[in-house]
Amino acid sequence: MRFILPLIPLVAIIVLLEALRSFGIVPAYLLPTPGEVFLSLRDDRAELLEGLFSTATSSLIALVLSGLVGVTVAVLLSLSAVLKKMIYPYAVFFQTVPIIAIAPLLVIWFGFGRPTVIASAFIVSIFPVIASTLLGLESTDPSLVDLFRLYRASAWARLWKLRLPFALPQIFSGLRIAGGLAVIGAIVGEFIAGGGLGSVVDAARTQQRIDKVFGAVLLSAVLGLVIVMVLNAASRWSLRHWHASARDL
Amino acid sequence: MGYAIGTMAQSTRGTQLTLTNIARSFNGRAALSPLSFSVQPGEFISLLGPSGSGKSTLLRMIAGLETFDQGHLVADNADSRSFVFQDAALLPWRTVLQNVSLPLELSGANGDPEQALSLVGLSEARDLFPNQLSGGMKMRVSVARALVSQPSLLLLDEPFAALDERTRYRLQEELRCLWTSMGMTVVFVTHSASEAVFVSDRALVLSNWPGRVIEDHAITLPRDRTHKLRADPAFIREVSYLSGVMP
Repeated sequence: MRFILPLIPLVAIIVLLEALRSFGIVPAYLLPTPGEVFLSLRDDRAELLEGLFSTATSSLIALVLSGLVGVTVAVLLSLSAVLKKMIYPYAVFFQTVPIIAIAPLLVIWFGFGRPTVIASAFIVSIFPVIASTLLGLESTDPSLVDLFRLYRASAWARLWKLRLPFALPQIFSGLRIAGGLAVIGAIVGEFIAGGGLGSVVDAARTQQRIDKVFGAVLLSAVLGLVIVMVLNAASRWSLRHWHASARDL
Repeated sequence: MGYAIGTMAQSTRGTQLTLTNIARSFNGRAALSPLSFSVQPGEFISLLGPSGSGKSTLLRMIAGLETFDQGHLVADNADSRSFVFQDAALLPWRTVLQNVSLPLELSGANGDPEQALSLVGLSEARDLFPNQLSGGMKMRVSVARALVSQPSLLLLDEPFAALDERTRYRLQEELRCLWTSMGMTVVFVTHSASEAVFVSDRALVLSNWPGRVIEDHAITLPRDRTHKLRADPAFIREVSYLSGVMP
């Protein structure tokens, strides 16, 4: 049942889309039938897969960077209340600037191609990692903090043996959000800087190949889904012994 | 209860504690008015008082986790102290044995985690994770962790308050039994007169906010205590006396 129930709306939508077109309610240049999208996925697979591979590579590089830089920044901010008050408002401000508005700037700075795409994906995906990790680091059980003080644990031991492991569930939840955002950021970057599924969508749109646009969009959604599923599995595995979230994910 | 008491039992000795005119205020309001008392090496005392009497604050001062505004606190062997928190405060990603080993890792002290676990009767559970344990077992692990560094001063902050009555009684007996064989100094914070009477030999009763010592009472009951004692008229007399002086 777990796998059958989500299939029902899918089948319903496929039937509905086919019906909208076969009864001539919606014209072909507005909406492809699922069959046409499937044919495009088959016939244009070389181009689509190349785009998918490129977008996946850029998204993953950006996600890894967001993870490393985001956790490091959060650790630094958690070490000093002054630093946090100084920096954190800008992190929030940075988050509210629309990526589509900065993307042309990124091209000026990084040129056409992958560096711009990675920068775009990195910018939109780093904030959730910082915010979640910071929340996790700051919610360490006070008794455990006292315990480590009692045994005069070094700052290093407090970080490695207590605060970071304690923040792991939040770090993973930040990474899950970042995973989906990194794909979006990469495709926005590709619209402007070229390459990947973003370019495929852009080119197919100008050629009025709406079936191919849908095929590329579908692949980007699958990419985001796979990244989130892999992160879910990693989270469940690392937290299998101890955290409630590991059991009901 | 068959405790495996080995070398650990002989190697501990009690801390002598002397508090002189200790006071503390929070936001300009006195939390503890100047209070003085001393605890002899190997003595088992309870700090008894209602919530808000500052008894936990006092215990945390003795542990060095809290500062005080005035007065002196002298503890010999100050490094050899352990603390048992109200919640068991275990690291959920570590096994029982790894949790018990933690103080040794952090402080570099010597000790035998396996033996500490056997003291609380949990040798079998060494490879389990905290989420696989009952509340009582978690608290036993917490006690084993406190004992692993062979402290000369054991501080407990309402450790059994969250447990069901049956488990609480059993752990009180076990704690008393561990103390009679190990002989460290114990300071036990509780709001329950019957708990104070059962586990300790002396109870300091603290008043309501701001806390001060209103009664320093020696509990005259046998050294070895079992659950039968709870029905003993002498026990009941002590409990009703302390309940009477408690604010």
